[in-house]
Amino acid sequence: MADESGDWDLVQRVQGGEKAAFDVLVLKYQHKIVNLVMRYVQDPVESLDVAQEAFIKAYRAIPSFRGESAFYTWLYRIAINTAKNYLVARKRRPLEYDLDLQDPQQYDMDSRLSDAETPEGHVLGEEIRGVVNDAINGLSEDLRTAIVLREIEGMSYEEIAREMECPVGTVRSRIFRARDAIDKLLRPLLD
Amino acid sequence: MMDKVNQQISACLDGELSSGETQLLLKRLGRDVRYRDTLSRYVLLGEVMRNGVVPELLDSRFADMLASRVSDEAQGAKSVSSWAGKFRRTVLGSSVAAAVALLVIASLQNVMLDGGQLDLGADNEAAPISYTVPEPPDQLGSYLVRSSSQAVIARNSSWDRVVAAGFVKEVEVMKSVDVQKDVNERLVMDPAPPEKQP
Repeated sequence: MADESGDWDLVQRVQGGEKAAFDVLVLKYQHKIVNLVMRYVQDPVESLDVAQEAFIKAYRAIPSFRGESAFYTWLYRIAINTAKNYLVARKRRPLEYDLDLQDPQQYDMDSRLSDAETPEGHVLGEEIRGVVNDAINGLSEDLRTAIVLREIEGMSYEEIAREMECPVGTVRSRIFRARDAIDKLLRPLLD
Repeated sequence: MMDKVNQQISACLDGELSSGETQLLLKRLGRDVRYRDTLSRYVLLGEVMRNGVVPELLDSRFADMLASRVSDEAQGAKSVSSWAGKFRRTVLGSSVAAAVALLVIASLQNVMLDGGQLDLGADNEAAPISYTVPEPPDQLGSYLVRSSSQAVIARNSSWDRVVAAGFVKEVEVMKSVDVQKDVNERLVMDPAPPEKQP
């Protein structure tokens, strides 16, 4: 999958000393990791600290990462271990069910069941969801198809190009224009 | 210009950016926080599309703080490697000698003996390994002095174990009336070898 090969390229850059590549990995997975940690730690502020620790541990261990699993799978396990250790250190009981046994991809799908939202967070979340859905529906067919095949089907640019019978460069442009259109509507909510 | 960079950000997120473009983009991301915010928003909209749920919203401080800590880690690693290189030779030799000494002491602390079952590991829970101690050679055993009134066994930690390792079978533990109250027992070995047979 293009995503995994993209992550592996970034990991190799980190291993070569390019700290900025690790920054991209953080930006890519910070939301997922914080959400994951919060399932254990519950407290939002503590979750941020624990998530930070998980990323720092990943950074320290990255020289020994061999790419035998996907980067996110590896990071997922580090985050769970960090959260569990945090709970043990504070003599708090870990979850009754173990997210460690779950597939990271499955966990992401189940995260919609999270009940850690505040009322304000819930309202903003609903607004964001609405804006994104409306923005996608407002796209032209080509842009909508390209972004859906990429984000939801997880297809690579080459696969999308074959599907849409257009060059890879056109796919890259369409996906960007779709994101840009959604982003223009999303930005005011987040600023 | 910004659109061109944002397009690169979009492709980078999908793992579809060339190596050269990635290198340039990483520099730009390091210099301009707006590009990092754009990447963050592109990630967010992807999460919303895929999962139908909005993940925990984080402002840029999370990633900024992490970038700062990563930078400190990298600086620390560089400092460590430079002075470690200078002192490596000096330290290495001492470390090897110290490790060998520790190994000897640790192995002696884990002696478990048959017969008298002298459990020296009872108060040493950190070293659960035990092994059978071989019989001492006969000539060593003959070095032991039995004395009804004066033979005592030294019972400080390491000496006791050295003695016990080879000689417990031959030794009778006796308490001398001359022993001071704060010294339990001491073993005296006669250093003189036995007379050779003609």
